[in-house]
Amino acid sequence: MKKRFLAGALTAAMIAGTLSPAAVSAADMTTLSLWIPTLATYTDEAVAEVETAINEYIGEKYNLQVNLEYVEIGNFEQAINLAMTTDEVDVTCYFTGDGQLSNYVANGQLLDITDYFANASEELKNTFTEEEIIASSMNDRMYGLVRKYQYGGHATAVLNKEIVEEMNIDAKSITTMDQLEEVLYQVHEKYPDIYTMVPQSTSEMTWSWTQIADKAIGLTNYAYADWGTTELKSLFETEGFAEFCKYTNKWYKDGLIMSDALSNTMEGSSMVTAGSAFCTLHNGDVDPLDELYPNTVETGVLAPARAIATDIGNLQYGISANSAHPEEAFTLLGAMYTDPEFATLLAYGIEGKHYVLNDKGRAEYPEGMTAETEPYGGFAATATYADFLILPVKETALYEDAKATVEEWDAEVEVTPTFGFFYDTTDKTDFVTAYANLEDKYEDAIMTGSVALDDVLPQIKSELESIGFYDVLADTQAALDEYLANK
Amino acid sequence: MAATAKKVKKNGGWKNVFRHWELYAMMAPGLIYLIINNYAPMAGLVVAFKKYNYKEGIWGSDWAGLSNFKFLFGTRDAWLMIRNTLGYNLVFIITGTVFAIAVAIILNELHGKLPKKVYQVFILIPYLISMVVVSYIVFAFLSSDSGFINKSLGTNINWYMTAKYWPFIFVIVNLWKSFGYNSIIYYATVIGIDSALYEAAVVDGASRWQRIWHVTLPGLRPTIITMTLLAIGRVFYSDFGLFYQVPQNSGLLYDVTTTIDVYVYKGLMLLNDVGRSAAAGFFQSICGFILVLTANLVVNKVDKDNALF
Repeated sequence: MKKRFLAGALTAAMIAGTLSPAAVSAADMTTLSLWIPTLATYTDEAVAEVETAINEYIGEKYNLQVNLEYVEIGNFEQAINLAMTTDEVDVTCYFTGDGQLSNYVANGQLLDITDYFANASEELKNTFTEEEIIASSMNDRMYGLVRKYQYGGHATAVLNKEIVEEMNIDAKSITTMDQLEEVLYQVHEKYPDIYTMVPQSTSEMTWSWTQIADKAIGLTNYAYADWGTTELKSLFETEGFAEFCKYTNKWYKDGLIMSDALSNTMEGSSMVTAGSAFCTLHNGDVDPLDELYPNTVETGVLAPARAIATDIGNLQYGISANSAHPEEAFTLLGAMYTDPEFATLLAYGIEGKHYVLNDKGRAEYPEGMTAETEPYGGFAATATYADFLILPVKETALYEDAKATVEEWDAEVEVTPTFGFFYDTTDKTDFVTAYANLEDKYEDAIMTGSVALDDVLPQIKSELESIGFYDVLADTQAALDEYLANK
Repeated sequence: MAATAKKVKKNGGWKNVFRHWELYAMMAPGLIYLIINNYAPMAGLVVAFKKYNYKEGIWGSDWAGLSNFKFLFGTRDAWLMIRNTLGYNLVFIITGTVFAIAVAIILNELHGKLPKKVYQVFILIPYLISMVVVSYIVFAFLSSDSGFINKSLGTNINWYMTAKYWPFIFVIVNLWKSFGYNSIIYYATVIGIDSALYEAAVVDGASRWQRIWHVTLPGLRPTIITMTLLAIGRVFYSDFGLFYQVPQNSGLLYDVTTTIDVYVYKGLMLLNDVGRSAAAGFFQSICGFILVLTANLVVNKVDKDNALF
């Protein structure tokens, strides 16, 4: 009798389930993988929790499910290159800071989304400026959507707060390299046992090129120009590079810069935060750096905000050419820019658990939680998410309206006159590889001041000559001149 | 002899397999691994001749002829990377063999089981350490500020900026990391040498050195030849971790750290071009194969019994 009752109940449940109109199980939905680089530490449990919350939301709204694939930012390019040979990647972030978009397109890694975008909602289309669409296009075809963030950045420096307070330094009044130098020497004299200056990241002295040179011209890895000009040069022959390296070489010789700068494996900001270094140069943006890095103070602007060709959309989101579900992938991609609830869940995590909204409607860590202890890590790494402008403003932000602030920034930033120019190097890959090796050989050594530019410039010129650099540069210059003439 | 061979042949085939199934079963995992890991991927070598397109895949991508091979030879770095790869490997083979044999003989001369086992474990440990960890150990020695060497000697050498030291550093690091493994292989051969030979040598009044020279080393000869032939097959390869991680990819050291693998890795990271990396791997394999055949031919002429085939 009991068995009969159970069988009857099960049958009834099955019939009810079949007839029920709205019950679509997760198994019936398309599951997409979403690859995101992260700057912050996270736990697998927290990511799984956020993934479940996202799937609940997008399952109902878009009939989609997502697998979140977080990869540490340093290994991200390597990871997606491998994964993109298969159908494991649907939507992915990718970097274009060194002109990689042309590689992704030439290698057939990214899906051409021109038609999808043309048929997308007006809301999505209106999200992007003309410049941003150019930045994610090659030969008039669109391959991704740029991260909504400000164009380029300014040059600044991050200082150790305790020393700044102890020595009563007015950090915000430091707006030139000469003023910074004066402070560095004072600190070096008083604190000879710590590094006065360290590279921004590993052996890279700074990521901010606004005070050095206009780079990545034509989305190449070898064409540079001094700001305000369109005369192409090698990096080592630009005036800005020579000027910058004069400072660093002097600082290195005087013991201000860590002597192991070339084999450094740490982030400058971490050393400044920890108090083992006083200063690191940094690229600045609309968010204050001293809020991002504890125990630090940001100086004034050392060089104004400028944007090189790859600064507009140096981080983009696109669809792998091998995705088995391109249409659904585009829906997900679009939602990252048009659905604030989904974007916030993805970027900040679960409200009340990974972040809270305070009475001003601003986002901050839950009580007792910090960047180090928050397990999802998204709140600390929002810079890598698709649309910074539709997220709740952080409590630490100096502005009320992110969108208006970024638009104001973008209107004022000096964008390279070569923006939009693309020089095809697909038949010059041997040269591109040889040049990259040559630049790697000298760039960090000179920029950290470990080697004086004047001492190695003749050698560099001879090596540039031997790889045919000046011939390729002349061709690129001719193409640029033609582009500018037709612009 | 001929009759025995005929008998074996007559009884061979599946009957033999059934009779010795335990041996075949033991061989199976290794064989399966070899097929999956070494032979099945060989079809992928076709990528070396393709302009690899991620969307089209291996078979759908356009043929590129030999153009993927050009980048290995078409730049000023070609000579540098081939010189470094071959040069380091030759030095590694010579120093590694001599050192490993010496350690194997010393181990054999030790009395007492426990010290032998302890030493074997200790000399094997570096072999098991990842090259990334090794790079930090080396940094602890060579850091210009706080490195053990500069602190001990009172010097201020910036090791990561001075290329002239690195050929020696690589040899030392490679030796330290690999000798334990090799010496255990040689030691296994040494303990397999017939003890009657040593006893006879003692009766003949041979000193310890004479016994090593006239008994141990000749006994090691087949192993030395086999190990050297295997190493020769890989002289166009380099330990990527050793040449990339250990010198912390310092630009000023490129002239002495750029080997084929390092160059290919950098090219791959820059252009995501799988075809060129496959071409480099193919080139290394073919060169290694030819070198093994040549070396074996020479061994065959000089000492037929010890040739591999």
